[in-house]
Amino acid sequence: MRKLAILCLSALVVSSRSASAQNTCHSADLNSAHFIQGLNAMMDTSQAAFRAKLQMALVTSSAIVLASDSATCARAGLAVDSIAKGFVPGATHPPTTAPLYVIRVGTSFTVADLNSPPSDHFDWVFFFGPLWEYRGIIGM
Amino acid sequence: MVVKAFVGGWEQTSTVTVQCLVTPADARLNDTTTDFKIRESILDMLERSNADSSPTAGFNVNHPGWDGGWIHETAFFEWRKANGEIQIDNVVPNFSDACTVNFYVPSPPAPGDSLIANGHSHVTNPGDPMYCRTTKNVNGVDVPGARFPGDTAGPVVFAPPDSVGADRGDRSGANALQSPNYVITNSGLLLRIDPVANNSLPNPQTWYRVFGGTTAQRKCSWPKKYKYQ
Repeated sequence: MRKLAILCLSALVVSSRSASAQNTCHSADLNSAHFIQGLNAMMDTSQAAFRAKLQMALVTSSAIVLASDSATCARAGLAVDSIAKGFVPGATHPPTTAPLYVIRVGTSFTVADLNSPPSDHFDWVFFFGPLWEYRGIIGM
Repeated sequence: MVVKAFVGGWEQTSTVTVQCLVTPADARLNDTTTDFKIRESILDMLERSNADSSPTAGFNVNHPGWDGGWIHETAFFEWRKANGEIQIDNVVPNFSDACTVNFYVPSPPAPGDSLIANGHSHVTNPGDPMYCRTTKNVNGVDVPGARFPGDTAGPVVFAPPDSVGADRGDRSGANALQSPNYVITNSGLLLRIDPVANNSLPNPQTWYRVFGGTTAQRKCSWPKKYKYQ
């Protein structure tokens, strides 16, 4: 049943094109370095089960890069804005316009929206497949 | 005050507890229909976090039931299913220490189920050292944190008070999933962070005393109904 819910969530994300968010790409900084470091750490053999939960392919460090093209980051904004509806049907979540950290992991994507003061604690990172299908969220 | 009611004659078939209702009112925390199920999960988080461990124990100390071996954060997600039932997923982190947590957010149990709350634990008491694998930002500069007592890096101390407001990770947990995020501290304070439209806006935040505090406050402490397995 949970697998079916993930599929529905994926469909919701993929089909969401009504919002008008125009997110831009966040430039490289300490946060992006932290995320890239964390994603590289997930390529360790000990993390195979965790990667599997996120349907994340094993890639080399050269395939984990911060995106900088506007089309990709605008699409990332649409995908992230759709997620809340998957978790809370009927939720009204206005489109965000903040610059996003979008990191390519091979052919997949991870996205983080950090539009608030910094924190040493953890941040929420969204995982998507090559076609922006939802794959999961982690605290990182 | 806890009153237990038993139904079913000699063979007990149902049990309910009567607990103080929290103020300001919170429909989730005061949900008697589930026998305060969410309260139990919130308290369990501290147990699963090894909150009773010594804060001076570093990475080189092991605790039963957790191969990380140090105090760490845990999380939960509460769902209202389409048939009205409540399901709570207690999350086992992929990695966590006293400073941070890395975990997978479970997807809805079934299509149409709704996330109604999520939460995590803040285990370190104010003034205690935090032994962590991550770097810490101190006065705008990233420095490595100590991993265990005696580490040359020196420990990062959790600055008091623990009633300081939510940080970015806490707030994002409410905003990204559009559900309240509960944060339980080791000292018995519970913070509810209500979601807002985006991370640039301030989140409404409400504090509750769950245990500890003054004698009067302890009268409304939440009881532990069973030990976490």
